[in-house]
Formats: sequence, C-alpha cells, structure tokens
Amino acid sequence: MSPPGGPVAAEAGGLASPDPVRAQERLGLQIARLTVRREQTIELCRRVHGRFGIELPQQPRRVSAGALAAAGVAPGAWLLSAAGAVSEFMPALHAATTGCATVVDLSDAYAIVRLWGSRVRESLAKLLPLDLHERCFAVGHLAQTVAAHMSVTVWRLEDTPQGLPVFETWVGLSYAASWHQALRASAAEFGLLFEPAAEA
Amino acid sequence: MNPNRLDGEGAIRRDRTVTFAFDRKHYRGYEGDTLASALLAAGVTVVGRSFKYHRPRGILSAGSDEPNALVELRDGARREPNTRATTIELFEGLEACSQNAWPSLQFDVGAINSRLSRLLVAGFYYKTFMWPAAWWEKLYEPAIRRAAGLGRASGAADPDEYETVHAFCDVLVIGGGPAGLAAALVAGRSGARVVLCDEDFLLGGRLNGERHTIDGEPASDWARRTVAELRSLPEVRVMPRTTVFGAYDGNTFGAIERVADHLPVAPAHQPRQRYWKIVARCAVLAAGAQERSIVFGGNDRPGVMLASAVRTYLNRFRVTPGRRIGIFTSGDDGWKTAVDLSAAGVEVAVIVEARRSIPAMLLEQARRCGIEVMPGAQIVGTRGGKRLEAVEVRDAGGRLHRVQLDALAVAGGWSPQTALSTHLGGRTRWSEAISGYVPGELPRSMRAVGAAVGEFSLSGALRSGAEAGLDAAQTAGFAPVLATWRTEEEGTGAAALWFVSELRGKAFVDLQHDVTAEDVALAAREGFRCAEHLKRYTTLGMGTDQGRTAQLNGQALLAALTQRELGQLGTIASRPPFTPVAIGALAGRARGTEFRPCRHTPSHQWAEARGAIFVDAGQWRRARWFPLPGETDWQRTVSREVQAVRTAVGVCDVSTLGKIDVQGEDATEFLERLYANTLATLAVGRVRYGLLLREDGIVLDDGTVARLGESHYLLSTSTAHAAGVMAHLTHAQQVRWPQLDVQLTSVTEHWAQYAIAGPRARALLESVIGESIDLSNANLPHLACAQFSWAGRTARLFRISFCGELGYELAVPARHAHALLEALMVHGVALGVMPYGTEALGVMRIEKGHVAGPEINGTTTAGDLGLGRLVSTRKDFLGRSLAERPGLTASDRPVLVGLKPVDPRERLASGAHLVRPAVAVAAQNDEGFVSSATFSPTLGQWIGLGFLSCGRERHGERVRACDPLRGRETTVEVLDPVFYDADGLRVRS
Repeated sequence: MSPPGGPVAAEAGGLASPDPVRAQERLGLQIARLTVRREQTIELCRRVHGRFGIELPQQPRRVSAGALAAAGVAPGAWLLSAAGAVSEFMPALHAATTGCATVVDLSDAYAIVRLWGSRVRESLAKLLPLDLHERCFAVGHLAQTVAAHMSVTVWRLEDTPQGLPVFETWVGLSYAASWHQALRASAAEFGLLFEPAAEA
Repeated sequence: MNPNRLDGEGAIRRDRTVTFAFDRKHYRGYEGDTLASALLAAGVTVVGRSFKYHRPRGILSAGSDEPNALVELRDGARREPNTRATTIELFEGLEACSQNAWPSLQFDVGAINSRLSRLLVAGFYYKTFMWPAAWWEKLYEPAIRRAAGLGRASGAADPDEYETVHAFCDVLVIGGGPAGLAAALVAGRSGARVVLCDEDFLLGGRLNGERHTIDGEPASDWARRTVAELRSLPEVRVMPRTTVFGAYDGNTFGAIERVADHLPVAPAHQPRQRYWKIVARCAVLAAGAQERSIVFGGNDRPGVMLASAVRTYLNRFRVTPGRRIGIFTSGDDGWKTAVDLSAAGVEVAVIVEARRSIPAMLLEQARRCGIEVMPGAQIVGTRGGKRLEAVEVRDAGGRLHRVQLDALAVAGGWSPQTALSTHLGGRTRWSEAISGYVPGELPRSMRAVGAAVGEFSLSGALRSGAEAGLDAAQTAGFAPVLATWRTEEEGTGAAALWFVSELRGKAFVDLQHDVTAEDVALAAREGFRCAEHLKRYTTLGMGTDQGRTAQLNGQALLAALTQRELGQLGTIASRPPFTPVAIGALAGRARGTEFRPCRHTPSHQWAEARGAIFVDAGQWRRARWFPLPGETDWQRTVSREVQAVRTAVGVCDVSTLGKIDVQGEDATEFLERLYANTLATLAVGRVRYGLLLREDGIVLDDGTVARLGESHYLLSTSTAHAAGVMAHLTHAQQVRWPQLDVQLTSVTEHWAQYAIAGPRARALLESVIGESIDLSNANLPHLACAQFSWAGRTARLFRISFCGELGYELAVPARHAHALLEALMVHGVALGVMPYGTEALGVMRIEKGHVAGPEINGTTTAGDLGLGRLVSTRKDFLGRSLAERPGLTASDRPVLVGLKPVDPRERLASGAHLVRPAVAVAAQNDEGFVSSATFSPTLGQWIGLGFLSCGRERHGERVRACDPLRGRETTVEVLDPVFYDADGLRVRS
C-alpha cells in the first residue's frame, strides 16, 4: 500500500512527449513550523543561525543550508525542513529555540511535489494565479495561494544542471490525491512523468 | 459549385479544399474560409430566420457583430446553438444547421408572425398577458416558454474539456488590427512581456479586408510579416482566436481562447477552449470600430450587407455577395467598397450617397469605374423575396427610382468599439466630430488607440498604436523605440445617417431581436425616453450580438422622436462579456469529480481495502460504514457497528476533526477570552469540553481543550468548523489581542486520530500500547490526556468519548496510521473489534444526546443547546455581551429535547415540525423542529433530538412531529435528550 502522499512508483501521463514536465514526490522530510514569541525575533534568528547556520528569511523566501531549509511563510513564522541526514533535528530545534519560539512538528502534514522541465511554468500557470516568470519569481521566492480550491505553498529551487526551472509545491496531506490529479491535468498537454518518490 | 468565388489570392488556401454541410446539403470551401464566406461563395443567401417574425435573413457582417447568421454548429452532444457563421472557421466535415425555422429554412410556418406584427409590438408581453390572471400559469407561460429562446442546446453533457490559465504581462494589446500590431511591435521589441489577443484566426483586422499598402507593400502582407516578427520575440505571446471579453479590478482581463473550435474534435490532452485570466501592467485597447447599418424600409432583406463586410468577403475571401451590387452610404467609406468591387470586376449598380456634397476625388473615382452616383439620395424600400432584387431610391429631387440589383452594401459610418473601456465603471463620451461615442475616462492602466478612439485612418491607427505601445512599455520600465510606417492618403469623411425618414416597408433597427423603427416610435410615445429604458422595453440590443450594429441607430431614432440631440440622450454602458462566453469555459476543470478537491484521511486506503462506503463531509471523504460480506442493508450494518461499540470495542477514524495547537506565555489568558466556559482551572494532562461563541452570541462550535503543558494546549473542533475556528482564533490573535503572546498552528493534517470505544476499549489499548503508557483509571481517568512514545513514534492519547462508552482517542503522525490500525485490528480479533463509520457514530451521539452540526446550526445559543450551565458568569469572553440580548435569553426559545415516537414502530424524520395536539399544522402553531433522528439499535426504536419551545419544562408531554413535505405525522413524547447512560457511568468505567 502506498503512503498517503500518492504514487511512489514512476508514472507517466498525458501526452507522450520527449520533454515532459517531470514531477517527484518528496517523502520523509522532518518539518517544523517555527513561530516566534513576542519580541523575540532577533534572539530567535541569532540562535537558529548559531545552531543550524541558517538565516531565517524575513520575507516570503526560502533559503537552505546543507540539508536544512527555512521558508518564511508569515511574519514571524517559518517552515523548517530537514532531510533525514540531519539527525535529532526536532529535539535540537526545540532546545535551540526554547523561550523564544514555538516549535510544532508538522513532518506528516504535507504532500510535497517537486516539478521541473521546460514547460513547467506553462503547466503551473493553469493552477497557480502567480507570475512565475524568471524576472518575477526568482530562485528562493515563495508564495502561498489557492489553486483548484486548495491552499498551496510554492517556491522556486535552484535550476537543474541543464538550466531547467524547478518548483516545489506543498499542500496539506489530505489534499494529496486531488493535488496530484490537478497537476496531472495541468501538465497533460505537455506530458507528465512522475518519477519515483525521493526519500529524504 | 461556388458561383460567387472570384479569382485572386486573398487569405484562403485554394490548394486545400474543405467539405462541409449546411442544413444537410454539402458544399465546398477552402481552408481560411469562414462558414459565412463559404456559404456566400456557394450562393446561399438565406441562412436563418429572425427571432420574432421568422423573416428570412442573410449574412450582414463578417465578424462577431453578426445579428442574423446564427446557426447550430455540430451535432449530438457537441451541438452548439447561436454560433455566428461569420466567426466559424471552416473545417473538414463541419456540419451546421439553420435554426428558428420549421419545417424548413425556405418554408417556415412561423413566418405567419410577420402578418401579426401589428400585435407583436414592443411591450406586447406586458400588455397582453395581464388577464385573466388564471390563464397565466396554464396558458400564457407555457406558450411563451415554447416560443422563447433561439436554437436548441444539446441537452447532453459537454464531452469537451475546458481549462483556466493565468497570464501576466507588461502590455496587453486587445485587438490585432493595425493599431494593435503597431503597439505590440513597439512594446515587444523593447523586451517587454506582451500579450496580443485577437478574436479572429487571422491577425491584421481590417488590413485583411482592405487594399491598403504600408511602406509600399500590401497591408495584409505587412500584417503577416509583423505577426511573424512578434512571434519570434521571446517575451511576446500572440494569441489569435482569443477574445478579451472583460476588464476587471486589479488590472485583470478575462479572455477566451478558442483552442479547438476550428477542429472537428479537440486533440488529445487539449481543451476546447481556454479561459485566460490576464493580469497586465498596461493594456492597449485597439478593438477597432463597428460599422453601423442604416435603418430603412426592407433593410433586412437577404443581400443587404455592411459595406466593410462586402470588402472583407471580396478582398480576404475572394467572394462577392452578388453580381450587381448597390452601395448606400453617407461617408467616404462606402465608396471604397464600390472601387474594390469594380476592381474585382463586379458590377456596381449605383452609389446612393446621402450626402449632397461629395469630395471630387470620390466622384472622379466613380466616373473612372463607370459607376452611377445618386448624390443626396436615400433608399426608402427594397424589393425581393428571399433575396434582394431591387431597391427604391428617392433622389435629391424627390423622384422615386427602382434600381435592379442583387446585393446592397450599406455604409452607415463607424462607431468606436469602446466596450472594454466601460467595464470598470467608465462612461463613454459623445464626439460630434465622428458622430459616435469614444472612450471617456479610461481605467488607470489602459490606453485606447486607433479606430477605438475614432482614429479611422490607417496612418492614424499605426501612429497612435505605436505611441501607446511606446508609452506602455516605458511605464513598465523598458526603453522602447518608436516606429513609423508610410501609408497612402485616404478619405474618412462622413455625415451620419442613422435612419431614413420615409419608410416603405418594415425598417429594422435590431435585426436579431426584430426591433423595428415602429417599435422605437411606440416606446417613445409611451414615455421611454432614455437609452437604457428603450433597450429594456423593446429588447433592442439584448441579443447575442448586443445590438452592435443597431444600438446607436435606435438611440438616434429615439432622440429624433423626442426632439433631442443624440449626444444628449446618453447611451448604454457595456458590461462583460463582450461576446458570449460558454459556461463550460468559465467552469474550466471544476466539474464532475473535479468540482472541488476531495480530502482523504491518512487511513483512506485502509478503509477502502476494508470495503468502506464513504460519504462526503464537506471536502472530506469519510468512511460511513463498513459492510461485511453478505450485508446488503446499510441499517443492519450500522446497527451491528453500534452493537460492537456498545458491547465490545470499535474503532472510528476521527482524523477529520480540526486540531489546533496553541502555545505561548499568554495561551491560557487567550483561551479564557475565547471560550465561554472556564479553562484556567484545567490542569496539565486534562481535557475539558469547550464551547466557542460567535461575536453575536450564537454558538460557533464545540470541541475539546486538552492541556498538554503549562502553556501548551491542543484544541479540537468539529470537522465542519475546523477552518472557521482557526480563522476565528487567528482573527482574535492578530486583530483583537496582538499584545498577547500566543502561537497558533493547525496540526490537523499531521495527526491521524482514532476513537477507540466500547467496554473492551481499555483491553484493546492495553494489548497495543500498554507497554508505553499506564491506562489504568487511576493514571488516565475520564478526561485525561497524555503524550508518550509508542514503538519509537510520538503518540497522544485522550480519554474522551462521543458515543457514551469507555472511550479513547489515540493520535499518531499520519504516516503511522496504517500500522496503528493494523495493530488494533490484529490485537482486537479476540475482543470482537469492529471498525465503525460516521453513521454509527451519529447514531450513538444521538442516543447519548450530544449536539452536533444539525444542532450547532448557526441559530442556537448555549442555552438552547442545554449547555447554559457551562457558560461562565465570572469572566468576560467573546460573544458574551451579545449572548445576553433579550431575544437570545427569552424563556420561550425552543430548547434541546429528546423525542421518541409514542408508537415504537413509527419512524421519525429530521426536519419535521413540532406542534401541539389538536391544532392546525400551520406556521403560527410551530413550536420547534426535529434536528436529528435515527433508529436506535440500543433502544430498538426511532429516537430524535429537536428544539421545542419551553422544552425543558415539557418532558413527558406529547406533541406531534409533522412532516408535510413527506406527508408524515408522528406523535412523540418529549424527553430528556440523553437516552443512554444518563449518569455517565460507562464513560468513567
């Protein structure tokens, strides 16, 4: 039985194309929502930087340092994610931020899909009411919106070595099937290749 | 086969023949034809019957303004009524049928209406169907409904797909004529992101219908070359077959791209149409202008056509609408048609020019072509049956002439196409100089150019387009360079002629809705003096074409009849959409199962594998019951599940309930201010029922509050109100009390949570998690909670019960849902464990008298729900003040009661109204209603919850539960709402 996120095995859909939109589900990340306590922003940023070497962005941006990433999702709130290699991430985060932030484990709360390809922007344009043009949505930019009646957080990652743009979408885990369906429909015209899920 | 097709190039592909059928007769056209041009080429003159009088009608225009040539395109589920033949791109195998004619287009019985036209005047409905009143429903309405409407919808589900796309650009150019192309080119060359939309499949607008030259080359070639350059620019998107139909707030424009309307069937994975939402920093309105007709006697006869349309058919499609064609004009424009026809070798019978003074250059052109000119003359009538045979002309000297001809080109002048300029509230402005309305104050980001602002010359269009493109690109931060082009001189002089006063025969203003000059006169006589009233009373301009060729002529008639200048009359404001938009295109993919997203719980697949039957609960899909093999009666399944919980143990997925994590120094204070009951006394490790009120004092939601730490709480909400409660809390935190140190996080998605209930619940949990946590009553009594580690996973256990049995809710991170359920089922075999669904849960909560969605329905107070004693009188909280309003504290309010049919064999239905015995079942005797009803397997009969006026004092009384909708009535006994274990011993066991 596959995990609730969706398909793990490779799956192709839509047009048979040599240059399809590629998608890959991300599994196994440790995810925490970090919310700053009253008037503790500077202290929190200092402590997180000291312990994890990452600057908490003060804008809707996503930054990463090694296997750790921080995404500013609201004033004073971040989604932190760590690949499995970061052991004891959650306790370390709790310890580092005691007294200046609330840490809530949301490791199982999201269905995360990474998308890339030469037509990925055209495909996402059918879902997201966002301007994802190179000039407007640079690497590290982040936005939260509603697409196909679902709450979506999206950010742009570093381009592939071939120079293809890469985006990552986060939706609530319960929406996984509907989100996958929406992605399949939006990319059908260009072809969609779901690659085997990546375990963090 | 195609008697009216001329030699020469045009914009058709003569090497690609296309076969099509109209009214089941087969014809041939060429790629690049429209259905209208191909029909005209084949000599077909009558293409439809008019709406009211069923008069034979021909093709009037060559674009989306067509009022007459409405056909049903395709067949079966794809049949699309009221499609304009003038915009349908010909494709192989196209099938179209005329509409509004019976038994045939050539012989239509409905034409009798024309004889009754004295009766069928404007306002006919309002005047005629007034009496006798009893006839309305029986006779008038059915008759009107039969006559109403144009064309037939397929009645079948649309087999095509549609989709929505978002686009963003620096410059949106609306219209791909000379002005639009110039604007797009100047902006596009600068590197700005440009979107260029045109409703036609061939960009160029009038350039394709005229014989202009630009920089010495034919204008249509220039258009093709310019489009090719635009397509080569990486940041320019050229969108033919795309109509920008509306301008909206936030610089957003709606557009429909007809992706596959020119194909028999959309290609795989392609939609039929795309609905574009385009956000543009700047917009250039280059929508061109609309040629007007002239109102004269018999002006609807097939063969009467707009002069510019004649040129389009001639130059673009190489089709002539007749062999001997007359011109009726009041401006220089009509003369172009005469010259073009002459150059193509088509005989021009006469130029009837309403102006007395005519530029010498035009007269010289006519003389060279050998065309007779009648200056200062007007056409007063036409002759012919199903096609024009002659016109009657009153010359300047007052003599009547009859001129034989088979087509007439009418040039009534041009009106700027201002539609999109008014969608955001702007008003058009009358321009005496061009006898038309021009855009008034434009939306901030919009510029209007070319013919859309009354700049009718080609040179003016190119210049104003280029300047707007420059300005728009500069505004967007680019450094564009202006471009200029050389064109020949042309005359654009005109003297507006709206109507001919002398009418011989019926003179139509709005051809689609059969509104005549007489109708306008009648409206004027009856006091309809403004353009909007004229429109609504006569239906002028209310057809699919919105009266684009007619609107202003009707207003001119009204102005003359009411002795006013046209500019003083005011006009109507255009609203979106500019042309009709299919509902399917607006819906996009949001139909059928994709109408809304569906939320699955982490154990959805597990439940599916166990054969669960699901129910939609908002967006969630929840297991409703789990039938065992052989169980075919759902009620039996549900009763079995209830029985299992009441006697053994059951497991129910409650992951859908909202879960909100609340932390912070002031978390306790925050919750105290929100919840109606006291929470400050809640100890760490304990759970309390919590009641939230809306600001207006009505109950918002109920749930539990678990205190996980000194300043750490976990709230649960009902499934339905999860998002609403989160919004309520967030609003309170951010707006009301931002000074409080509180952090809110929705954790609903992270946790999979299961109710494990029944007398053997503890035994089951002991065997599964007993090693991780002490489940004894002493350590974990009723309303206690704990967080612990189970097999290396974080887990949370709450001793709470919704069904009235010893119960727990066990939560694990979503990925462990499957493992937990499997463990519960394996260890529970000997204990008789059963999964149960929402239906059994509902049965048990009614037995236990717990309120849920049907009771917390947005109209009930805590007192109504029997929860008044929970409400604290010692603190202030959100909703308290308004909950104390007299209306909400009235003693006779309907309050929660239990209800049980006196005859245990009788059913009870929710929705039934409660009335006293021996009174009429009428609204004034209504004392309450049944909110929830179920068959209780525990009690062996139907029971219910409901609200009854003064209900608490009426336990033991008998009332009637009347259900007039289903024709049922049941005598019920009023009881305490708790039917089961009233002392609550079982939950504490």
